Amino acid sequence: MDEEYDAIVLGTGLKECIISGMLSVSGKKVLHIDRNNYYGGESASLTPLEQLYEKFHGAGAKPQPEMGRGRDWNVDLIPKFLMANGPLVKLLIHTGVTRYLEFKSIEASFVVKGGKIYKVPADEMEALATSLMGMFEKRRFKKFLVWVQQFDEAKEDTWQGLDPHNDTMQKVYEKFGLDENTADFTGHALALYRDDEHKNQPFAPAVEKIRLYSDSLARYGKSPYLYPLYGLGELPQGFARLSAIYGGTYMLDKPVDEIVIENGKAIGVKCGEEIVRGKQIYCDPSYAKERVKKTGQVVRAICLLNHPIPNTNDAQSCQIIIPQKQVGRHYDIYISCCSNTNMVTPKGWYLAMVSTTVETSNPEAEVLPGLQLLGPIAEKFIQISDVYEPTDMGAESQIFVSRSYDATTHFETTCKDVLDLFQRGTTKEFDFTNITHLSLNDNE
Amino acid sequence: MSEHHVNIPAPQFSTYATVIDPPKQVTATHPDEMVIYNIMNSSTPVRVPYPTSAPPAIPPPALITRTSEPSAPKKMALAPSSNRNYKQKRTFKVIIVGNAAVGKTCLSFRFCCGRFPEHTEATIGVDFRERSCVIENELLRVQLWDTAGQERYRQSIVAHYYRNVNAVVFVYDVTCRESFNDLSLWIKECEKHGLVGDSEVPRILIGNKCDVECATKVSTDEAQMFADRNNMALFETSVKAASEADHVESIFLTLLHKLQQSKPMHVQSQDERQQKEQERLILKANQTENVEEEGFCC
Repeated sequence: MDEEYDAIVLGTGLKECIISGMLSVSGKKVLHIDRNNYYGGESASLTPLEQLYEKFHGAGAKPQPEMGRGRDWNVDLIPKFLMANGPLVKLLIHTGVTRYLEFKSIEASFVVKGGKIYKVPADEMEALATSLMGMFEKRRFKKFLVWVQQFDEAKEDTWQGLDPHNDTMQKVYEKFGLDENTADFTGHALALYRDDEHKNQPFAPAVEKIRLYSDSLARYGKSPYLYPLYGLGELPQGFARLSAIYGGTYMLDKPVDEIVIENGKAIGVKCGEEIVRGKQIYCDPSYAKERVKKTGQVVRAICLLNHPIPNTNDAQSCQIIIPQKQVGRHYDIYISCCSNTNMVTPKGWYLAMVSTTVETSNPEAEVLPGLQLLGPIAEKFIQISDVYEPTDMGAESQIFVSRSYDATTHFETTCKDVLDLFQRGTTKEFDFTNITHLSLNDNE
Repeated sequence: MSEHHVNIPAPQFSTYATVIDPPKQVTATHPDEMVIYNIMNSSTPVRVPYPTSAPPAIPPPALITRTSEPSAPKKMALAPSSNRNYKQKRTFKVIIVGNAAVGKTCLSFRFCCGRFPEHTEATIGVDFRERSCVIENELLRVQLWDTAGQERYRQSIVAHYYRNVNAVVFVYDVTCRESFNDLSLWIKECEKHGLVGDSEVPRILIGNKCDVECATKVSTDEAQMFADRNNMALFETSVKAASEADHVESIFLTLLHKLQQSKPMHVQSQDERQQKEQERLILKANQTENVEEEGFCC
């Protein structure tokens, strides 16, 4: 540990692992440290189940015997799915990390309307059969979707009289004669907005998001989402291996006392008595508390069930969105459910996670509308996490802090943050041609 | 109905050869494809090519083998010929574990390239080495996975390294007592990830650097006793010495034959597979208990 590293990465969350991989691939000498004895930090999948109990209920807490073998559980701390056509999937494929992982499609996506669960139509047949909207509304909605598919911001003739720079999404809904229910459904279950802000913004980003949804849906089947076998914790580990095979050094279970600063610039990190020198520091907010500010909170309820979620047609994995308006909130409530089919539970057990952005002083009550949809809950763990964003962009200090994981259900914002971090740290865009290990040829 | 298709393009499942292997070998081996379980056909794995602007050509198996490497002095046994059709193709994932600097990378290099690497500094950008062989008209591809240096600080090897593994090669340095003592920790680590010493996942033990003279050598008797207790075959060799090259080759072939026999020749049905999985889980649970009762030696 006497040598100097080009970059020291603190924390093995997904973002830090992707950054570490990108830096190593770019020829940087990387040291990657985590204070925990497992990979993933905030984005870990805890296993065995005992680890989850100990985290929430303290040392010695034990799951009930009927919950099966602890090792069969992989419990995510943050619920997210991958959009099949989204940026993270592209990143996984281009970096070859897909060779370490296996994915499954999430079986179905649902939306709540008037207290009832409706399937988000995944194909033409379902769209015609759905009771989510009336006969005439369906036709108008279809017209809208056709327009979305062909819309191109660069070509004015595809705009059909709408101006992407000035007209709002609300105006688009009005032009196509879509009622409030459909607008609600489109904005929250397809574009995956968490609130209604987007209705008053220029419409182009919203149209992009709807297209991402339908392109992802088209890719593999019944839902636009993919999920890695054994849980999301596999993702950071995949990128950690990528970093390691390009020379990155890994140390878990290593407490980090502080980032050492000289003349306003980071020169390394202090671990106990020793100081490891590094030119740059990349870390998650928990390693640089004085360089971030709190911007909000997310509440997540991890629920262990011994049955599928009721009214989901016994889906082995699914997502349910409760649009904010349905429950008189500002932000949507998300439910995600996975099971043995995703290798995250023993047979017969289900993991459901209810999450939302905190907007009152009683966060636990805020997830209640979601919990009520789950049926009997065998065990429930509530966690309230602060969401941080960096106040120091790192230009001077060379400390680059990632943002906390937000309440969105997919990784679009995650990838954006990572690419932003990389660009800030290296002042370059990532060059995928640096990746050589995919050729199966030794370089010797 | 002309506008209907816009939202619902046809599924893209049938565009690439379906994998006929048992479910263990469905890790994507090519960067431009992802293994996706088609939920509509239950769990039949299907490889879906990912459309990119410039899809690289998939190299035929013959190109992946090392036989054509100009500097390879060794003949490679059982090398496949390029213009034959094999009745079956299987891919095996073999992991190499052991302390740092016992010669894991050199071993995999010797196995797959038939020689000792000229540069011994940390290998960059190598995920696994692969060698193809033919036994009884069946093409076997053996992927030897390296730890990528993540063993230097214990507990830092990623979990997926231990997944879908068909055989484990434990390596120690005969001149380094510590690397031998730590083997029991490596066995524990493997067991933590479900790799117990049953016949389903063959394990072999290799004592490397036997050509180096050293007063505190780990004796063959001691190593043999350890190997017997843990249901492993022991080999002492030197990956570096050219005189041992044939020996290394024969170790590899031993492993290859074990692998070849480790799987039934027919493709299992879904029910068979599940039942077998279930049996194995029970077996594993029992064995794990036994191991814990015994404690570990050394």
